[in-house]
Amino acid sequence: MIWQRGKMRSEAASQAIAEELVVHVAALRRYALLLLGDSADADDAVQETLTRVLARAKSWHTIGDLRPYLFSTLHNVFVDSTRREKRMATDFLSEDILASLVTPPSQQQHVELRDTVVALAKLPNEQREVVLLVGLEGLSYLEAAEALGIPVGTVMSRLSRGREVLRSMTSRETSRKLRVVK
Amino acid sequence: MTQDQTRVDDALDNDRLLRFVDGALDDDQRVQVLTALSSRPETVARVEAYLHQNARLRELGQHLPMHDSRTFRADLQGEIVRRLAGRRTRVAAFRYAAAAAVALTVLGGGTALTLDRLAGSGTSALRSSAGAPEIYFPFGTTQLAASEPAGLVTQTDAAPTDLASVTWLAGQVPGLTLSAPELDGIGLHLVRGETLDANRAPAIRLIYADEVGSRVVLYAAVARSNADHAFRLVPEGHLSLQWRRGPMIFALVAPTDSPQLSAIVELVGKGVAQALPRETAEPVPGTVPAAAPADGGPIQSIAVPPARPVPEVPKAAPEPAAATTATTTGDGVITPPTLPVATKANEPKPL
Repeated sequence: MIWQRGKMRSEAASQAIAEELVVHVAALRRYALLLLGDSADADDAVQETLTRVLARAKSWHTIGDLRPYLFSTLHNVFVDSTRREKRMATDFLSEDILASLVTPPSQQQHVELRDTVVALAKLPNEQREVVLLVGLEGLSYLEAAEALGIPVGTVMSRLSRGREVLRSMTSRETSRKLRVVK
Repeated sequence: MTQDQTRVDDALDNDRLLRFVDGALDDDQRVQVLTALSSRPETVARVEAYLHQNARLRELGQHLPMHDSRTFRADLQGEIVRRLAGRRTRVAAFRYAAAAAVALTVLGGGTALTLDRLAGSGTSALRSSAGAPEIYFPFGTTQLAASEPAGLVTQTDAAPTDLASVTWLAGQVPGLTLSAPELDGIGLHLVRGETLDANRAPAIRLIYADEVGSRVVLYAAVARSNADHAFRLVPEGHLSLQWRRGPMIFALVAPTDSPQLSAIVELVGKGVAQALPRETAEPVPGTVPAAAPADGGPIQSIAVPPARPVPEVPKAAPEPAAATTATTTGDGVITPPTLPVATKANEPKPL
């Protein structure tokens, strides 16, 4: 009886996690798209992530916070794929995103988003990951550290460098555009 | 270096600035940073740039192309099925697929139906779970057969002619050929077919879905007795159309606002008319003659629950004592009364 009750609790917890998992799918896809730059690769990565997580259903009770866990798994998938395919930062195909960006209300906004995508594409993978996890997905430094398997200090140093690179690139773009207008 | 400068430098160190930008400081610390920033215009520009980056990233997240989730789901299902096939143990495979099924069906959203086994226990019923997702293989049940990964096949992989459940049902009636109705022409794709009960009244259900995930379920069963048959139905906001044709009984469950409803009935009716052995006038052994005119199966009744429960498929043998009123079980499932054997007098009139 006790075993059955424990089993029921475990099943309920597993089902709750399965349902919560679904809530994060959109965020995973969004993150993967900006990380990988290609929608097909991104969907593959998210599918692989979900498949891995589902395959470990037996140990779901050990998961504390699901969101960092999911991003951590996605990070591992990403690392595996870059290792396997020797993907470099220059392989980032931001055109895939640029071509299909849902047009924002103003043209200026659209241009700024394009610039952001292009600048992100030029960031090293490690910095892009941190910038996206914190800036796009709103993970805390601790959650980002957990997701990437690195210390919080490393998260902050990568974030600082990444943001500075982005700033220099977007400010150059802005000044270049101003010159063109002039 | 003055004491004031030191205080400003401390307040504006790199980590603190990042935390300020990401909203990870408490109120006192934020005030300290803002005060310190007032004397450092170059740092203000940097902070503004970081804040702007965050705003752009969030905006970017809202404008990314995240449509086509249907393809994503189908691919994910396919991937899981492939993995499932590679699992070593049946137990592990079951757990894996059960978890996947829960996640996927929640992901799929759409019409919400929860089905107990049609001809199983006395409390079997279709239950309404408004807004809740359909759970095909809930944890803790034995509904998922390890040898039937087709329960998770992708929509594109579901070939109507290959449905084992349809073939199985056709095999219950000598001389009968059946195939799953093809409703692609009206935007409905076959998701999967299931055998509902091999030991009692043989029945199957075929689940179709449209582009937005709204589902239409077609039930088909072989009549084994002379009793009046009806499927238990249906969630609020859904409609059940039931009819009988030769040895077969059918029920269609669809949302009441389904624009394709009449087209579905027409297509299913045509398909069934072609499938049945019309020329063989002799009744199939073990079955009963058609209760409805043999003109393609007019609708015999329309049930819109929960106000008007309809009787369940009778058990093969022996027939339980007829209940005169509907009963409700503890979990809210309505058990409708069992109707007596159909007679000319109480047979429902065609619409």
